[in-house]
Amino acid sequence: MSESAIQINDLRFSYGRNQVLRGVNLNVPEGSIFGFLGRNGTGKTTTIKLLLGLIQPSGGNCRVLGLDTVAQTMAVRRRVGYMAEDQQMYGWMRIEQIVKWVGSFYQEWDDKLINSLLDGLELSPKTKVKTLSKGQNSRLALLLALGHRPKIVILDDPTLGLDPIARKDFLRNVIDLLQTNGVTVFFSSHLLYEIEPVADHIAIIDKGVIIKIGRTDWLRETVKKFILTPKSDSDYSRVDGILDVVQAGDSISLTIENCDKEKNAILKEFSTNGLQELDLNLDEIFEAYVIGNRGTQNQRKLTADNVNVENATND
Amino acid sequence: MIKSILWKEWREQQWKLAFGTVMLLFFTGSLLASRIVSDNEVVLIVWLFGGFLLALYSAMGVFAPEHSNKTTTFLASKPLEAWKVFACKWFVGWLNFAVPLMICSLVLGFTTIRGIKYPGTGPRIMGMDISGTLGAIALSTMFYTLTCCLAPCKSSEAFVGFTGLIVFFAMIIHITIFSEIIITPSYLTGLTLFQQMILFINPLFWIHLIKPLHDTVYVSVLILEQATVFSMVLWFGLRKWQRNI
Repeated sequence: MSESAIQINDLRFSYGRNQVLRGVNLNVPEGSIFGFLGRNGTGKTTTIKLLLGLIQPSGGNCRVLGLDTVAQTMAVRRRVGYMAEDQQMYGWMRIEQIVKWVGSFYQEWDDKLINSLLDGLELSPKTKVKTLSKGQNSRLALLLALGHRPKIVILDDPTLGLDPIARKDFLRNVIDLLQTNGVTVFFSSHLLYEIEPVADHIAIIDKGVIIKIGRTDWLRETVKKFILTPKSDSDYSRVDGILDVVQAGDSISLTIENCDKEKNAILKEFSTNGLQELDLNLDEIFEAYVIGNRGTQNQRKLTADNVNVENATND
Repeated sequence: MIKSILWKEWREQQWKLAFGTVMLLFFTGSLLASRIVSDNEVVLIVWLFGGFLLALYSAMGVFAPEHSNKTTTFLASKPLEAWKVFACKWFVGWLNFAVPLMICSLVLGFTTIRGIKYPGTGPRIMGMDISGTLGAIALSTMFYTLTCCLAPCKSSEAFVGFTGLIVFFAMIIHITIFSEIIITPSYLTGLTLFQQMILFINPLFWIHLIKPLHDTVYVSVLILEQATVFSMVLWFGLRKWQRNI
């Protein structure tokens, strides 16, 4: 787990004048299931396309299994299994044809594995691709991404467009097939609840930069929400890492990163009637990082009154 | 690997080749049987129809369907060099008009050689020969390549067709300028601009280019220029294919 399967250094990319990635830095540990989170249009798919050498970066570099994605594109693609968001395949082919066709591009293609996966994923070889349901289509795309026993599997929003049952079904397949084999999984999504049970590491990307990266359990342990009724002269600037402040009547809820005993003690000082500490799920942590109002709260002294003003402004 | 790419392209486009061949033969046969135009004019019409319309039809189905069916990323994410995919696509698309033209030429050549004739009419003199067929294919290849490579990024099939029309008129203007300003070959002197344009549309004009002509400088310059344009357009098409994944 110590080696990096994917290393991204100061990666930049622009579509014309629109700068999509503004210096992404990322290390994906080998053997991890890595959740890559971000809202739509924040640069997730662009990052993945750069990892596969489908597009060229305007700055920085990425290495996949130690291979440069620009100079050694073909070697990278041979070692990576990739499933695109809403992946479309050739509808006129039968499953057995598309499997054979994709297999012809990989020396390591494992027919035995494919046959067992076809059974396991309940796909009939004679079925035409165009007649598959969205769930079956996703399962076929997953099968095609795994046929050459890749060291890394990159899944780009793989459950896009699936109904909740098909989504759960797909994630169960991912866990069953990949978690036990030591394969590194780079899983991009904007649906937090689907990443949460699967990922052991996550990175949050927003506006083309990584704003948080770490182990999922560490994030859950260190990002907390506190509810307190503040004293009028409370100086929040003494507390580092405020992500979000929300006023609810007399009380205020503060979402704070890197929580420790010291911060806890400071917050207790601010409160008139004790401190309520709440654990957050990944969804709430993501929300705090991406849409939290920390920039306006962190740098200056705030009282309950001007938090009200701040919230009104934000609304 | 190339075999696999060709297999996929062939399976996707083979019906176009069959359709093109049948339509071209049917059209030629109908024209010959109706006797409303001379045999030589049949050749011109067949080559014009076959060369441009089939090339246009073929160009519309080369790269555009990958974009409209959203399969580009699936194809591009495989360990395949972009130029191999591009070359295979181009080649199979090229077969779609080159093969029907060759088959049609062979059939017409055969009927000419054997002196097959309709009751009450004399034997045909088709003027269909190897250099003529090659000329028609060369002209269509240029038109096909320009159309599919110059169509805007991620174009739909219809937009590629529209690009083909622009290319067609651009080619007419180009040859007009070429023949008017740069060199006026002997066989153009005395003709009006309109007549020269009509002459350009006439495939026989292009066929003359690969026959030994007196004006070898003109032919050399034009062929060199066309080869340069062809190479640059192919390179442009490849870059576009690589960038628009």
